[in-house]
Parts: sequence; C-alpha cells; structure tokens
Amino acid sequence: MIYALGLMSDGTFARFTEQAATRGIDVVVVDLRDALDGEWVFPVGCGGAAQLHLPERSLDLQPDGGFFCRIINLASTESDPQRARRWQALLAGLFAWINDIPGRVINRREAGDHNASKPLHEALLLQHGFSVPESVTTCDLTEITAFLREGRTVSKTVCGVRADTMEVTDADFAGFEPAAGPVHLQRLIEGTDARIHVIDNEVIAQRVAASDIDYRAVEAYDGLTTFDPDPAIADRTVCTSKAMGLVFAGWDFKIDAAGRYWCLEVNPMPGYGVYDRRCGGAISAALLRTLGAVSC
Amino acid sequence: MPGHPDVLIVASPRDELACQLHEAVSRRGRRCTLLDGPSAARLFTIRVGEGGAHVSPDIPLFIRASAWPRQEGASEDERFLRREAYATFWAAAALCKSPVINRPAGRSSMARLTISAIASRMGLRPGDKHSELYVSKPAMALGRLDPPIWGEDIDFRTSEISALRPDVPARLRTVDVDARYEIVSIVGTRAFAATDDPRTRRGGLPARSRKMAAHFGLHFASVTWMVNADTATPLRVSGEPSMAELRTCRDAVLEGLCEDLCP
Repeated sequence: MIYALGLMSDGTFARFTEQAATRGIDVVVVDLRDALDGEWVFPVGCGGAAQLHLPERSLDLQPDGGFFCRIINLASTESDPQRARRWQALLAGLFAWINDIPGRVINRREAGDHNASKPLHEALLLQHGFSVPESVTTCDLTEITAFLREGRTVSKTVCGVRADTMEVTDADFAGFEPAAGPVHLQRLIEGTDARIHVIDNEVIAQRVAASDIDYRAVEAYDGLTTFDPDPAIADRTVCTSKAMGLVFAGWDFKIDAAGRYWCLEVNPMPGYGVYDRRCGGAISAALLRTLGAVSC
Repeated sequence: MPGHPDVLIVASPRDELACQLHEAVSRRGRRCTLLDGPSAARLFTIRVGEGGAHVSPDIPLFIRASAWPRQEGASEDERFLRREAYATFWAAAALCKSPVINRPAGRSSMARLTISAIASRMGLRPGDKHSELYVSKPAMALGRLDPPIWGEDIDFRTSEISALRPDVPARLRTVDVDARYEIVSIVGTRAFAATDDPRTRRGGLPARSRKMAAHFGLHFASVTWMVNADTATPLRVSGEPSMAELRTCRDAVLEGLCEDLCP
C-alpha cells in the first residue's frame, strides 16, 4: 500500500495525490490536520502498524508500505499553545515511527537537514565533488564589503527559508548593523538555471530559458524544457542523494557559458509540482514507481 | 587569537554546568567566554569556496541546548532572525577545526534518544518488551502495553500512566519493576559510572556506553541503562547531561572537558 502524509493545502502534496488518482493508483491520503484533530498511536521499536483515528475514519499505517511524506510543522501558526504542543507531539511520534519502519519512505526525517544551514550545506556539496559558488556568511561589515568588491553577488537566507534570491551591492548594506545579520552572500553565476530531480536511480532534468537571477521569483516556469544533463553530473546527483539518505531530491544548478555546472543546493523536500506539470507528470510517475506502484 | 577567547561556551547564563565549566576553564588561566546562541552566532564568519570551508574565529566550543531557549510570543521577524543565527552557528560549529563539544554534523543536534530510537538507530530490535508508544493521550496505550506502564508527556512530566494528564500526548512504555538503573557519563574516551555496583563492570557498561556515544557522534554524553539479572538495555542517550546525571562524577567530568577543550 502507498500512503501520502501531508497537508491537502500544500500544492505539491495535492499534485502527488491527484497524479496518483489520475493513474488509477490507490493511495491512502492522510491530511495531518485531520490527524491532529483525532487520536494516534505510533509503536516504535516493535515493527507494529501505526493507528490513526481521524474525525471521519480510522486506519492503520502498515510499516512495510510506501510513504510519500511532505510533513510540515504548523505548530508556529497555532495561536492555542495546547494545539501547538499537540503538533509537536504528533510529529515526534510520526517521525520516530517513520524512522523505525522497514518500508520505503520519501523522505525520512533528517535526510538533507543541512539544507537549513546554507554554509554547511554548500561545504558538504563541495566535499561531494560539486562546483559551488563561493560564499560568505557573516555579520561583519568589513567581510561583507570585501566580498562584494570581489565580484557580482547575490543574497540568500542562511536558514533556507524560501525567499527570493537578489543581487546586492554596497548600497544595500549602507547602515548595516550586525544585529540585523548574519547574512549569506554568494557569488553570482551567470548562466542557465537547471533543476534535476532524482527519484531513486532516475534523473529528470529540466532547464529554464530565463535571464532572471531567480526564475522562481518571476514564475518563469513556462520556459522549462527537459534535457539530458552531463552524465557525470547526473551520476553524482544520484550517488550524493543516496549518500545523504534522500530517495527524492531536487537539485538546483546554474550552467555557465563554458558548460560548467554550479550546484546551488539540493532540496530534501522539493516542491516539484510546477516541474511535473511541464514534463507530463513524469516526476509523480517515478515517485509512485519508487513507492511500489507497478503500473506507472 | 587576539580579541577572541581561548574557549567559547555557548549556553544560557543560567546553565549550571556551563557556568561551572566556565570557572574551571578560567582557573586554568584560559580566556573563556559564555554567550547565548544568537550572540555567539554573530561572532563567526564562514567562507566557502574552492579551497573548502573556513571558519573565523576557529576556537574551541562547548555547546548546550540552553543557548537556544524557546521563543514564546516572538514575532515572525524575531523568529526569522533567530533561525538565521542558528543556521550560522550550526555551520560554524560543524565546520571549524578546533575541538567542539558536542559537534553538530549533518543534523542540527542530537539532544536525547530514548530506548526505541536507540535500538532503531543502532540496528537493534529490542522487541515488544522494550518498545515505546507515542500516543495522543495515555488511554490509547491501555490494552497495547502490559502494565505497569510509565510515560513522559510533552512537558517532560514523568509518572505512572494513571498520574499522567488524561488529555495530553505522551510517550509510554512498560517498565520492569525489578530492574536497577545505572548512568554512565562519557567525556571522549573517559567513562564514569554513577554507582560501584559490580554488575556495571561485569556487563561492560562503561565500554558499551563509550561505543554508543561514539556511534551517535557525541563526545560528551550520559547513557542510562536498565539492568536486569542477566541483561543491560540502554534506556536513554543524552548529549545534554544534566547536573543530576553528573552528580557523582561532576569534578571528573569538568576536568575531562577542560582537558579536551584546552589541550
């Protein structure tokens, strides 16, 4: 059995469930908001089934199943402290159980956690043999100024919270106070954007014909086309995804004029819907196959 | 390194162990500073480039979770700034070359593991007897676990099931009322058992605790064991030993930490 655990209000999760339905694949869908309003039992250490008593139905999650997880913690959005703590408890139990079971999980918790610390993430990508644009993370204005003077620069969040990448100059740091930092600055790479989705051993690569610094910010998804990436890069993304414990990963690259692939990041929980729509649902199909569907 | 301490302790100023370590390091004539997490994060610059990662200042760190207290009632901007600081500090601690106790790696921290998670992560299968249930309320465990059942709720209150609040999620297990308990504290290759019970030595608990801490990448840890007539089962591994857990070996632990932070 294939299970999908997430939030129906999450477009990527909805895309997965819709694609499964379109292909006639049975998927047990659990909206975590329903789980929060119900009761749960997660047995850890004995290989047992988890039990969920949702407002409208009860069900068992079998430990040898295939699990598509987009588990988003909404505790910080709850105004009621009791409900916030209930979110934490629900996810603690769910993660403990998911990490313990033998079934196929996309993705287990902690795999790719380092994406939430960009300098660490980039250092690890470098260790795995990828070319990574140089970066500095600091509150020190002297360091910031020095980096800006070495070449064109973009600014990103350090913690990986989704925010538009933008080009910055000295003027953006006039009056900068260390208390407003740290900031993460990265050398701007001019070139074509590419997203490579790795699903187990499968690679689906797409590139964007856009000249913007952050094509996602201007929603330039219509220019997405599939392409065959450099085989060495494709192999490295598959191997590194496995090494990081990621069954499913979304790799972001800039390909410069010389054809060099600059790795920007690997997303451990990629929002893949917009890419899937432009490749005929190939990513969803690969996910379903990986989770055990035989007819995809 | 001029302008920077010899050792940086990153913890709450109310963290008793951190304060005692601060005194112990200072008594050795080393410059030691204690800062909370966000203040510590703002000290560091991390450069990543073709030559690898470079952290400045690269100084020995002792890290406690108390450095990052809960932010009740914080605004969205405050929470964002705190996440930015945390992400920076995590990278600095993971990438610097100096000793770091405990060094975070690919994941941000490993504060505490309980019996079922230890078994899961070490590839052990303790079986029903040592499994745990995570439940939305204690009554959900009735009929699924043999009595006597004890548990810990989401506010870390521990008691027998009937004394737990009935509407609060909890983690529960069957307890062995005949078992005794041992705590082994680890600092690097040093192991300090809380008792001198001969079963601790016979069961090889100091060596097994060292191995377990190393498996989880913990230089400083406490391992709590449940000891029966013929077996010993790890109940809890903590990368955040409390003063209560260290009460029988506090001085030796402080000495070990000083030696490893200021070699």
